[in-house]
Amino acid sequence: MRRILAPLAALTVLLAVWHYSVFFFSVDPTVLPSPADVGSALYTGLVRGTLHVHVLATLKAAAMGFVVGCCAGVGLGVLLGEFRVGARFIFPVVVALQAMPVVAIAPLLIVWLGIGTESKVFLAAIVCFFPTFVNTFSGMHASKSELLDLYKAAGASRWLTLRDVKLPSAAHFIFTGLQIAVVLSLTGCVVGEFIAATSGLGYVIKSLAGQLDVSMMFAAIFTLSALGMACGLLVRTLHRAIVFW
Amino acid sequence: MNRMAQPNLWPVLHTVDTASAYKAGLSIRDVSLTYGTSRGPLRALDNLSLDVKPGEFVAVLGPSGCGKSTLLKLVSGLLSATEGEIHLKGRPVKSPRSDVGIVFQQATLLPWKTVLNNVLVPVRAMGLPVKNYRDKALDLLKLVGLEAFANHYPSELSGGMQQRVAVARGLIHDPALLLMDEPFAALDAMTREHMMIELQRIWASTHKSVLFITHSIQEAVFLADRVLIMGGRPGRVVDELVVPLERPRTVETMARKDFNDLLGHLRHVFGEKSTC
Amino acid sequence: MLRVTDKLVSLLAPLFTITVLFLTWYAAVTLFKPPSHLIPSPDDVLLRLWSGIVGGDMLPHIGATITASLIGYCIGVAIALSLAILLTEFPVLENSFYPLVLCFQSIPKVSIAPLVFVWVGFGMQSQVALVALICFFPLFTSAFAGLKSVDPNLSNMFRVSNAGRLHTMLHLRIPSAAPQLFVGLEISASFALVGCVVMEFINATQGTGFLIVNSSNTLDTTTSIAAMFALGILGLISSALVRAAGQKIVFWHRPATNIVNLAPRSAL
Repeated sequence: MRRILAPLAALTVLLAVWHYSVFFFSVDPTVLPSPADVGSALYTGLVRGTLHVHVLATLKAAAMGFVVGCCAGVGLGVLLGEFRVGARFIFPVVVALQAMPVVAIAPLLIVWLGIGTESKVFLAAIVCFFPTFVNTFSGMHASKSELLDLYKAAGASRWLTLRDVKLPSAAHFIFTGLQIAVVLSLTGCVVGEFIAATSGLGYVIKSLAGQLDVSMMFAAIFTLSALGMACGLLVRTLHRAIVFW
Repeated sequence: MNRMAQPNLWPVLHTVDTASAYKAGLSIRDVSLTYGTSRGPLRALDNLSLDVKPGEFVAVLGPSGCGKSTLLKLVSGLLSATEGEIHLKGRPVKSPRSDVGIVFQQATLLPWKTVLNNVLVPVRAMGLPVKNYRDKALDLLKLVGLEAFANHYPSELSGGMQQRVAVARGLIHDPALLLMDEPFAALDAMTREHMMIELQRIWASTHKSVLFITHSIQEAVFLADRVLIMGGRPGRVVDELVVPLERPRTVETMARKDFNDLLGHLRHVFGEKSTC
Repeated sequence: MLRVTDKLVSLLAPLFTITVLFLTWYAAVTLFKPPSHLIPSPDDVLLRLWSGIVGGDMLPHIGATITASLIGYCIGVAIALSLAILLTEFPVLENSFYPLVLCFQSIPKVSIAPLVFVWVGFGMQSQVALVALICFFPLFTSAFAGLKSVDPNLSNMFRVSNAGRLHTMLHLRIPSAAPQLFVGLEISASFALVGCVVMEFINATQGTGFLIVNSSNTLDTTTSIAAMFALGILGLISSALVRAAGQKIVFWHRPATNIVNLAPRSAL
């Protein structure tokens, strides 16, 4: 009870402070709109539907990028986890790439893929790849050595050991990676939309900045956050359901 | 084995019939193992010989760092010896083979499989038809007193229960030899005593040969027909003790004077010979 | 002997991979001869990077990125640390605000970039603000987790000896949190560059991000990729610096040589 009420109370306090400070200091709505303004912008955007197209565009691109990036990440992670030689040659390079700001590639994607869905999907896929890959690779080394010994002593095939021991042991790590990736897919998609798109929430947020329609920007950002939380929750629920042990 | 210099309270009985051990039990002859490490070669075992007769319970007793676990890996075929020979049922052990069962210090069950499926893991790993072993697995669970938990997950079981599942798992494929690597070391003292009595019961009803590795003198004396004392770096067998206590041994046995004299004797041996 | 060769191999192997990648790139370009505004050849890119640094035309951009990232990083780190300390010291605050912060964490933070632009306007302040915001979260969560992970026995020991709050904080809680703190610092360091570059995409007239956008708009892909390389090197250096500092300062904690500990990273 307390664990729900306390953050709710804090949220109320924040909203109240926001509302009254806008009210008392009569802040310019092009700088900070009141919560009510944002509420009505959300209503226009989501109920009357001016944002629907963009929400769908972002969601679609992020989902495609997520699937592509995560499949590549998990696949390569499992592969390199199985073969030590590959791990030595490739893993450190990927870890080094992870320390670099990969989204910097976004403007080049316009040159390569043009303005539109492909660029967004590609960027989302790239940013999803890294956490899933690193987590999967780590997970592949998380099996207990006794279990591996047990399978080895029984003469089990490599494939059976992978399926029975290594993959289930890695599952928790893989899902942690997916959880990070799901928010990152939205991030990558939005950055792509900042630069190379004509639709999507990122595009909306950026073009509204030019029009100084800050309430609608807030509405779009809130929508995006809600999407982020919902997708995160989805992955977390899947995580709990699949990795039940 | 330098037995001459020491006044034995109990004469060590040379009851090891090498020929029969060679045929049906485990026979280890002059086995040495050298690892290559970053600081040069490291000799883990040195000219180690021992035998386990069919149906015999042998405990290998020694402090940690004596190469006890290395010995176990050799017998299960996970490692191969640098020198010497290991025979099980008359056949040389060179690579992993299916007629040994292993029980580790931790139960190491697969947390994503039910108790029943965990018991069936070795069958699955050997590529045998799992269906044919279901009844056997249930029988074994009954033997270890867990028939009611067949469809539970390991996380729902206590440490002692998990270890009993591991024992059932070690027996599922009817191995000639059961290897146990300090199986009770992670349990609390009360559970451990209970498990010792349980293991004796299970052993008595399966007639398996057991090679039981431990650092607990009490465990070794209570369970074993014969105790081999390991010591030194590199590891080797420094002494041997036949336990003359009659079976079944019970909680009362542990309080008896002859039992405690044996413990005292072994402590004395450790003080003199084992330099790990 | 063995150890030395082992180290050498693990050092040379990734270098080998990078060389192979570059050679493949080079071979592909000489073989298929794509227009240089699509895929320039690697030697052109490296030459461009060299001339940009030695000739100096890239230096102001790189400098702007470094300055903005560094200032934003420091601000974000300072706020995150103080808030983490505040929240772990006062359970009321923790109960009310920690769940909210966790909620905010699933916002794609860079989406706020245009808003920051509206608020702060053109110039470096925007970059600094976004960097601070982005750096805040990973550091806050790791600092919070670290401050919470104090060994309860030690904590009781300090309480029994009547240690003051400040004393306990300085001598027990912060040192206990230090290993995790440095994990957060390292993640934040790589995030700082991301935030800075994204903001430079949107508003700047200077900075590496601006250089990348500007030169790809004029189809000068060679410069664009060279600037990306510069950013990549910056990213490597900054996280290596933070890690080295961490190993020096938290000398009692063995850093994760185990691959398993490399895994969890927080999201942007």
